[in-house]
Amino acid sequence: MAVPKWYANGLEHVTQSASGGSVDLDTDTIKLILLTASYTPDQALHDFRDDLGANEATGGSGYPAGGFTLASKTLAATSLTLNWDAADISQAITGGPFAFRYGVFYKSRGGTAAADEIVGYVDFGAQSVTDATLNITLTNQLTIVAS
Amino acid sequence: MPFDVETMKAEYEQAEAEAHSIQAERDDALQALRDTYDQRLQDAVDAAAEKQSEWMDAEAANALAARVVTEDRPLEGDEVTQEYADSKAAEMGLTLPDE
Repeated sequence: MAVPKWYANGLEHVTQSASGGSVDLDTDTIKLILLTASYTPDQALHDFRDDLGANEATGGSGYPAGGFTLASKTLAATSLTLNWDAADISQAITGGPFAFRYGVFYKSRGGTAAADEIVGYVDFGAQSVTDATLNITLTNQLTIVAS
Repeated sequence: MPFDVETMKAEYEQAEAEAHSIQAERDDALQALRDTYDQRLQDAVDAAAEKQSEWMDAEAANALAARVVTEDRPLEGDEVTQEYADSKAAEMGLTLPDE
């Protein structure tokens, strides 16, 4: 997987979690929503899911609107790096094409998009799946490195 | 007249002790909250992810099966043969629905 990037506000949502209760990466409902190339990430300004606009990927069957719910999430420090990990995604997509470029991690609260904090995003490059399995590796999807 | 540093130090130590006391109380309360919710929430989220995956597999299988044409005629649009559907389902680990 390409190297994911933090949103500045996402980092704030996470680091405030101990005191402010915003985003808890290993216990909260975190989803990975897939977006088309029409989306333009803004690391400095985007902070909630409504900033993603109407750019969610569609096509075929097998992709859940709103994104994949991440399972088996962990936070662990190795050497000087804090890693956020989750189970890989492997989902059959029939029909299509299901085309996407970006993936955005966000906290799903079950309500409006404006309430869902976005954390980070990854640029997969142009991807298209038709009658095939979509595989996304989520090993250490976001890290904080002490240096 | 020199500053009364001993008194100032005592006042500082009392103020810091108050801060430490509140901090410890807060930490204990947060830990109690985590003990109550974290494992239960994590298990619930994992269960939801599994159900979502099962649901999407079923959606994908239904959609693939709906494209199957068994008649002996040229395929149109996204139509597929039973052989193609069986092959793709096996490749993707899907179970096609019964007819």
